[in-house]
Amino acid sequence: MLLGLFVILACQLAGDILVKLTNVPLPGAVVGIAILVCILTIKARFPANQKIKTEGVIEQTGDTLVRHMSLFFIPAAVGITEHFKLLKGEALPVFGILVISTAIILGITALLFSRLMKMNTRLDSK
Amino acid sequence: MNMQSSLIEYLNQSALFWACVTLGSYLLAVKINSWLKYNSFANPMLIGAALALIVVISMGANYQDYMKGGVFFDVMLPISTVALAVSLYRNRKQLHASAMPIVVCIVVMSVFSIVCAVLTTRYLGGSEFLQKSAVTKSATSGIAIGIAPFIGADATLSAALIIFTGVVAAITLDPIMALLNIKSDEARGFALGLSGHGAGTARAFQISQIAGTFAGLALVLNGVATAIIAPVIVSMLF
Repeated sequence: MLLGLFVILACQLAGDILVKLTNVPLPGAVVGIAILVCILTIKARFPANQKIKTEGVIEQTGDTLVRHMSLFFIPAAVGITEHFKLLKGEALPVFGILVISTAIILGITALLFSRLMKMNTRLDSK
Repeated sequence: MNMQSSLIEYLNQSALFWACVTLGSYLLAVKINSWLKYNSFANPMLIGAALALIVVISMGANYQDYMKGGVFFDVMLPISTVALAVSLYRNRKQLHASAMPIVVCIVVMSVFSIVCAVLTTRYLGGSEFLQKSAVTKSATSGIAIGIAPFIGADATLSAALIIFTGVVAAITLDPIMALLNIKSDEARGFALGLSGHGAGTARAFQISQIAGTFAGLALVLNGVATAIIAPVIVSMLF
């Protein structure tokens, strides 16, 4: 478990360092995701290397972290206390962002994706 | 009376107390969510944040006090985001089989959802600050907070919008899918993950395993796509 945590922490750190060095406007976590996918891919290519069986450990730790992601988001969400005054005057746009735009995005995505999936299966069957 | 106020003063300055409040709020929220049969309104993130907020307000504390303990969990957010790579890797066969629809949909919809959020806010008279904080509302929390400084948005305001967006996506799913007559689990799941990130994905897993898998893929890929394009789109819109 701790080894898995170490690998994931190291990926995040490597992501942060890369972003810092290259000045790319990306969150370190995004680069970290890419690095971790590479590590998992490389690990799977070398099943013979039984000395370092980290893949299962990484996946277990990763699953636990993802399952409880809501917990890690609570501190940021409590920060809304800083913005109560600001939001009071903007109830209508806030409601608009939340309900109208979310509903539009949800509907259009589902429509587009189901059309594309049908095209995809037709291409495959040809 | 004096002892009581000095105790409150002591607790407000205690990192351990605020760490307990955060973890306790979350555990209670998860419990409440299961009592309410995993109803989308009873989102653990929403209830957990609300419970912690109630403690902060009733203790007369401020955000700086709270963050003394909250920071323990706050540092874990990007790390749990990196761990999303595990589900992306695990579902690589699904990703490969539906590569065309997934890639096209992510490219088109990540741009569209930013433009849609900003323009809706602008049209309804929201300030520029609010418009910028709306940019990341469909991205997963850890990535959204990382994007905020690059686009001049406020991370905590974005955070609040993100939570409610997820809840709205989960609860408006059924009427919208009925209206558009969409029955495929893949499309429902993908739309939930793309528009409603974590809360949407939790809702998708209630539909079926396949819906959940597609939601998970959409969540990670839309988060990454949003991180890449947000600075560009924001510079064009403002």
